[in-house]
Amino acid sequence: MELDVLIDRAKKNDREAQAELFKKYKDTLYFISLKYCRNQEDAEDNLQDAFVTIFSSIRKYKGRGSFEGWMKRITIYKAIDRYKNQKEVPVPEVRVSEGGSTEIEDSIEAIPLGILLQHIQELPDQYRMVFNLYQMDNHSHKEIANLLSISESTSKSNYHRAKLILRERLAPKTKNLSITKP
Amino acid sequence: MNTKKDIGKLIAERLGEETVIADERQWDLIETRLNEKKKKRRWFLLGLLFLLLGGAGFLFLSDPSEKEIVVEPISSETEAAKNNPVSEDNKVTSISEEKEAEKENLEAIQESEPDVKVAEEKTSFKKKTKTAYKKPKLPDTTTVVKTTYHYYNMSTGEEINTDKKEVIDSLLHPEKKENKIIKDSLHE
Repeated sequence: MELDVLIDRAKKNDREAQAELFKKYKDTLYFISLKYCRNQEDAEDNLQDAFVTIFSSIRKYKGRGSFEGWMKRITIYKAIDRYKNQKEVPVPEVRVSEGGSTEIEDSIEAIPLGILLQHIQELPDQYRMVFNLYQMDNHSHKEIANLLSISESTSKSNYHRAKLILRERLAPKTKNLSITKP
Repeated sequence: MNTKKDIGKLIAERLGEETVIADERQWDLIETRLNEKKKKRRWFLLGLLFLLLGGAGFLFLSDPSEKEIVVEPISSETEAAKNNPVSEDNKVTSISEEKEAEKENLEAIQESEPDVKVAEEKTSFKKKTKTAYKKPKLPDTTTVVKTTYHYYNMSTGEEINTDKKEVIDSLLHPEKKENKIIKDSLHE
C-alpha cells in the first residue's frame, strides 16, 4: 500500500494503517533510540513514546518534507526530553587528555555493533546527545545549543570529549581484534 | 597500512551501514497506550461538553426579565411623541399617560351630560409593569355606571329615590351637622 494512503488512514485513527507504519519504520526509529538512550530498555521505552506521539499528532504532518524525517525528529526529541527529565546517573570519571588526538589508525569495522553501541550508550548523557546530534544527525553546534539549552562552546567541548572517550575505549579493541585477525 | 581517521566519522560510517531489528511485540504496548489516550480524550471532551451544557443551562434558567428591563417613564404625550415618532397604533406610552387620557374622556362626557353623576368609577387599569408596552386604542365611549339610592322608612312609609348619596346619608345619620342641613332642605 502506498505511503500517502497509509498516512491518510492513520490520520483517521485506523489501527491497521498505524500497525503497517509501525512495521515499516520500527527498525529505523529503534536504531536512533539505541544511539540516543542509555541502554536497550530505555531505547524500547523511547520507541514506544515516539510512536504514541507520532500517531497522536499525525494530523499535524502536512506532507512538507519526508514522513520518515518527521518521525526521526520526533524520536530524537523524545530522547532529548527523556534525557532532560532523567536524573544524571553519575558516571565514573573518565580521564582523557584534552590535547589528545581523536584520530585512529585502525579500522573499527571489525568491532561488533553491540559493543560499539554500548560504548556510545555509556557516554555521559550530555556528551552522548551532542555526539549523536552533531556526528550522526548533522546538527550544527548552534542548533544543539538551542536544543539542549547549553552554550555553543559547551556543545563543541562536549563533542570533542565524547570523541576522546570513544577513541580511548575503542582503540585497544581494534588492536586486539587486529591481532586475533588471521 | 591504515591511514588515520577521525573516530567520529568512522563510527558514523560504520553505524550508517548497520540495521537493527525492533521487537514486533512493541506494537501491542503502543496500541494499548493509544487506546488509553483515546479513552482519556473522550472523557475530556465529554466533561467539556457537560460544562458547556451546564453553563448554557444556567444562563437559560436565570431570570431573563431582570436583564431586559426597560424602564422608560414617559410623563407626557409630547415627550412620547418626541421619542417615538411613529404612527398612533405603534406609539409606546406609559400607564400614567393612559390614566390621564381616560380622565379627560370622562370629564368630556360629564360636561356634555351635566345631570349624570358618576357614582363609581369602574376602571380596570392594567398592572404596572416595568416594561413599556403598546398603547391600546382608547374606547370611543366610556361606560358610566349610574347608581340610584333607594330609601324606604317602614314606620312612616316615606320613600325616596335619589342618585345623591349625601341625601340618603342625611336621613340615616341626621346627627351630623352637614347632614342636618341637607335633611332640612329636603323637607322644605
